[in-house]
Amino acid sequence: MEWVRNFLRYRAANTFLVFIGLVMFFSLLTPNYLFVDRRNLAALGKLFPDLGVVALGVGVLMICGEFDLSVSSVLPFCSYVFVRLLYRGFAPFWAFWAALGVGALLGLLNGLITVKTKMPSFITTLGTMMFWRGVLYIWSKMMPAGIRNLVPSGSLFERTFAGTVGSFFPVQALWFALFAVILGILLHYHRFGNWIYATGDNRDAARAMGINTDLVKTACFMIVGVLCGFSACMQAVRIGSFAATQGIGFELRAIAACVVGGTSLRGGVGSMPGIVLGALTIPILDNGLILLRVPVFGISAFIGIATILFVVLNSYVERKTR
Amino acid sequence: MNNDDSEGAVGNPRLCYIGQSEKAAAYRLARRLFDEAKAKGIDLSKAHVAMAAEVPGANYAKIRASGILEAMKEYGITSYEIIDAGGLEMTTVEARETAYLLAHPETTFLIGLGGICTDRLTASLKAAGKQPGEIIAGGFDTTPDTLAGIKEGYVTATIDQQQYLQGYFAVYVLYLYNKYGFTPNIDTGGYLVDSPEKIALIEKLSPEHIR
Repeated sequence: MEWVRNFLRYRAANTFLVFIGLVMFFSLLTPNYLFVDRRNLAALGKLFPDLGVVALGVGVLMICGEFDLSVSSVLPFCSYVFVRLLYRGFAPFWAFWAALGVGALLGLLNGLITVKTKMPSFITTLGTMMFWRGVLYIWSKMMPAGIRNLVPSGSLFERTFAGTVGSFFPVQALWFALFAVILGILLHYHRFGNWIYATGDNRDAARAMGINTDLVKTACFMIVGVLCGFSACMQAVRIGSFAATQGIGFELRAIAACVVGGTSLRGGVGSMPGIVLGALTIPILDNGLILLRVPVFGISAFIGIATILFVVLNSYVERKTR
Repeated sequence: MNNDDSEGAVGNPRLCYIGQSEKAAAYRLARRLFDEAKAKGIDLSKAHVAMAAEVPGANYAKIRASGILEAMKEYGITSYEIIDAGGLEMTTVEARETAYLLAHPETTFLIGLGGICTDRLTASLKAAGKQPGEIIAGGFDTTPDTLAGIKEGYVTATIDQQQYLQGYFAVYVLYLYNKYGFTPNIDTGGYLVDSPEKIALIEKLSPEHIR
């Protein structure tokens, strides 16, 4: 059973086992096997990437030893930039790239403030979260703005970000998978990934090795910003409008997803497979419990308990197998 | 303005209130939806009402739910559930409404107690594989997707609380109070949007931030 022991040595393996258990539990116990019903899988595949794509970036940043609480404001800010440019007559393609650029810029600001002032990113991004949301509320007057006539259903742009493949598979899930693969390669098979781990694990040691840790951290903040911009456009196209409340709560849910996936809050530890599993686990928990007809009025309590148990179990299995 | 004390003037030493009577508006909406069901020949004694609230404990949601419950009593409907839609984030709301519809095939009515829950009704009904009118849905506010849902037949009616009037009358009443001491209570809401004609007017004035 050496291969089992080897498999369990991977931090993400524990997450994977619990994840599989969870999927089997919901698949077998939901009435009429609703969890694996085509409609439910399609809805899950369409909806989870809004948070999932952001969580991928947040996870990379956490491995680098930093947090980004501003995602919940950067996302709707980028969404509003996208929508405003559409209203001004820009083609969706250019509005999309502008939203990504704004996301990168806001990420750059987070990074520069954090590394130049040596302020904990928890505080930096708490401040920018409040700042950008305030600016957004003033700028948008919190008015919803529809874009259905600017990005019509069935148009190439709409199908690229909110369509389906083979009339079933939501394209959003493919985008999530693509970003996971790219970031996975970056994290595990590229020199930059080593720098991220080194910076998150021991910043001084990383510096002594010649790594520009400020640059690495700032780049990770920018990755999060770009992913927020992407998710913002994807969500705006799907819901057909801008809403000032987009992204509210994403900051903690993204961190929760990464922690469930085995990413350390102290930096230097985590993996892309783990982050992916964590990003899937939170929405699956939410979904599966409702399908089990748990009273929806108090479902947050169940999810809170389940998240803690998940992490405790993860840590326990890890200790036992070491 | 906008959100009154749950007990109205009794529970609050306010001078006056300018805004929607939440209970009356919810009652009006519910009656419209229940009448629609009756016209379709649905046995209301077996009907199930699901009410989705972004913020379940919020005053507006509680008062609106009480208006719906009052109408339910009149129509002999006893089965209902208030759903915690998970906050103000649209994706979370849509995910929960969709999962609820899949898990509760007995649902006859799906009512959004707030603007975000109402906005996501159409997307949730489509994701759950429902046809227009199969579930009788309605709610509050006139966001873009809510209006689209009425056009497509997924949403039967929504309530427009006409916020423009709340701002307008607030200033007007302050002037009148200063000059003559008037302290009126003005109900600006309860405007039922349930036809393409009413939508056309709202869509025309919405970019100007009037409707």
